[in-house]
Amino acid sequence: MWISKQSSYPTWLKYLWNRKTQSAISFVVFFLLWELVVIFFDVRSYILPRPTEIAKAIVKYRSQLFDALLFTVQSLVFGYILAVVSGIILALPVAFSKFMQRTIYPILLFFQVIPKIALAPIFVVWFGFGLPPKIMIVFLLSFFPVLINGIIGLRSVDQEIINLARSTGVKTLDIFFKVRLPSALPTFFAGFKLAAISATVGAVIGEFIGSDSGLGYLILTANGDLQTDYAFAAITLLTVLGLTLYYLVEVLEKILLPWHISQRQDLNKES
Amino acid sequence: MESKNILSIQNVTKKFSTDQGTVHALDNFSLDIKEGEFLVIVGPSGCGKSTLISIIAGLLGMDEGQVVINGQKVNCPFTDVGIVFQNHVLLDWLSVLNNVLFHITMRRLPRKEYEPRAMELLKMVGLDGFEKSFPYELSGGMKQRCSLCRAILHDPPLLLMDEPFGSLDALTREQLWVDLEKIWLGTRKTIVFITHDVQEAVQLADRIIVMTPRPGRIYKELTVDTPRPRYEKALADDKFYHLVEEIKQSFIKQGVIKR
Repeated sequence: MWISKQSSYPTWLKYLWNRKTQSAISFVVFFLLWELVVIFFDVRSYILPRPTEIAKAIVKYRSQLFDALLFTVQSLVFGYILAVVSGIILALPVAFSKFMQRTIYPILLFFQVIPKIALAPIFVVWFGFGLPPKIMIVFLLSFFPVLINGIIGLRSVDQEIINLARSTGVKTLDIFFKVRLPSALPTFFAGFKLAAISATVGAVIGEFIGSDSGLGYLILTANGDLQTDYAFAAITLLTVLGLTLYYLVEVLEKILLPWHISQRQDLNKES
Repeated sequence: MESKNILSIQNVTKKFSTDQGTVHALDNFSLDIKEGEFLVIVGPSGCGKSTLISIIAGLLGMDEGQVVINGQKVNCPFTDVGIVFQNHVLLDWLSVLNNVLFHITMRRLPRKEYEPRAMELLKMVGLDGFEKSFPYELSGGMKQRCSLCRAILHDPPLLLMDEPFGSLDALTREQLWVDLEKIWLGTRKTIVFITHDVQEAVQLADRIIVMTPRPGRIYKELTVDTPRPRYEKALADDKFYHLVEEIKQSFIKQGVIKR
């Protein structure tokens, strides 16, 4: 009899509290709790600013924040695109040539294990304080997820599918472009998304190490001046930036792989 | 009526080397298949049945012997056969129609010429109206029907089926027996059908080859002469059950089924 029980909710409540609004409302509740906890325990603003204070800081420092954002976006976008392109280009030979698997792949794995953040100060020595070292760090952090996922995707195509393609008698190159690559695309996209998250981390680290602009730099200086609300404003923008990049990739995935997305949604529905 | 051999498998031997040593998949295997024949090869898993299909299709090389299709020696992927694989292997990103047209587009043949035939085949297996759907929208049986259409669209004289209904539920499988027989009666293609399902073998075959466990050899040959279309007739036929029993007995004798 749970149906009649559910229908006894007033209509206005159902509009406000349903499957679509629940996640949005949970965010509102989270920020509300944050606000209340800070007020209730009388936490100093330089320790933890209230969400409303952060919002005020964003408005107040909007021109500085905007300039910093532009700088960070540049290193993020250039580094990310560089990583995606070179990751794809390198994944192809490594996935197909046993020789490359024995020679290039171990070196790549070796570089992947290096804590790349540790290289950041050295990049400053090599490339100076401008955009290039930041691009390099973004690149380095987001390159490996693209490469590794690409290799896995290309290598794990079902052998029966390959046999089906071979049975048409066409050349290996045709099989690659018409069957292998499309089969591997979902795995590629998983890599692109992981890379998008790492890329944002890379952009901030690059600016922490040696920079005179960017959101990461703003966080450092604001922190030094105990302007915690200002730092949180910059962190908020960074979060939005990371999310935007992530969702851009997801939108692209939806456009390119509608078949894959629908399959995934089916799985979600079942769970 | 004496018809000619369309497929001749001559003394084929195939070994695989694995970490555990050499595996003998097929040993000096010979078999002739007549044009228009529905041949079913039944055997325990790992007896080299699937290997045989791959070798006939030219997807896999052999160590000794040769395979001749229509007088042509097979030494590379042979395009004039249709293959239905164990899994439907439809391509997720292609619509049902484009999946059926897979061979045509891969080989850059004129698509327009084959489209009407593709629609006709889809209709024949009850998939009309689904041509724009994607594989994830189909049930298991529909997917396998779709891959059957794909295998016969380019009108190969020989159809190779590698345990095609193995992953379907029992009732869907029986439905597909009926459908496949209908298609076979309509097209009279030569079919080499691999299975480990004894009932399926008797239901479909003109001739049944019972294989031994690895290395695969021919253990026994049986002829099924129940008139077609067969489905209901076979149910009422005592001979049908005798054949099933005979094959199962031979598996017991070989030690495939242990008592």
